[in-house]
Amino acid sequence: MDVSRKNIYSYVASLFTSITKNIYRIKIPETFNSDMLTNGFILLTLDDIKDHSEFSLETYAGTRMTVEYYIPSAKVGDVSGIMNTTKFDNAQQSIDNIISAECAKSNQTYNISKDGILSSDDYYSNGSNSFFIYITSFIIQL
Amino acid sequence: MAKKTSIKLMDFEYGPVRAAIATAPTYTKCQGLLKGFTLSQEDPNATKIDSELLANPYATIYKGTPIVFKFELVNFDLEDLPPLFGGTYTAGVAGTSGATYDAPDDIYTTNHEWKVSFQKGLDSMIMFNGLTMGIIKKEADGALSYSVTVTAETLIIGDSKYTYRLTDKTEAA
Repeated sequence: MDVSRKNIYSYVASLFTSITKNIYRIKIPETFNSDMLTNGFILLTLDDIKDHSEFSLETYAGTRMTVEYYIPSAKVGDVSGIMNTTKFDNAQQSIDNIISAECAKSNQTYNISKDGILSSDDYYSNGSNSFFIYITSFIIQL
Repeated sequence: MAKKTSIKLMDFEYGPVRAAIATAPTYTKCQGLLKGFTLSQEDPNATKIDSELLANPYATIYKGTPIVFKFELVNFDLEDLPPLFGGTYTAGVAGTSGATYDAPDDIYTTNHEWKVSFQKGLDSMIMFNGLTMGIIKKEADGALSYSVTVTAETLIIGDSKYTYRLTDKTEAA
């Protein structure tokens, strides 16, 4: 059983490389590059790993990974408040498709399952840059 | 001997019931247990005798109950199942089929010696003659498991009777 947190982060990051190359863990980076400001970035956070074994790691363990996709806000024309939702919709669809495809696999090093109810959104501002955030999560069994 | 608290299981093993008390069997490890392994013994049955005529009018007779191990086994090889729960194991064929386990048509019990080793405190506890029984189950969000109950029976060797034994760690010479 591979319960190394860094390996789990790497595994999840490898799922999303087709969407963006800007994937970060735990905290938002202090400085943003131009690609992040144009195309957004993904932030991964892993919950505590819970082991269900009487003898350490002899049975199975589980944890939850939260994926946050920061998508730069863009308005339609010059009207503030009307959001250009295309990027956001595409990002949400891409992430959901990747997670669904991974959920369908069996007997992998990490088996993931999506509960479907825990997706949300939020808003984040950094100086003159603002992002709309798509938040979803899934359970990893290992 | 120093007093000590025994805590945290380190090994859980089983083997054939021993024929001579001094000869320990060869154990097989049984480690893929969910949290919640318990060792318990119910309060003994008490019979109260009240008599007006005896010098001591109140008397109580106790009759003991067996020790019981309970645990959920989730990480196992199909090959491990017949010795514990009966049934038939058939090995798989590489590239063609997986191994199979056909369960018996009813509850099947076996007798084994069970040994629990502690990480801290005493070395181990041995149940000499454990009646072993398992039922298959899966709880919500849990793994497929065998819910195993091991009930101590008396081991009789010659004129001596044994149920369980606690063993301390070997002291440094």
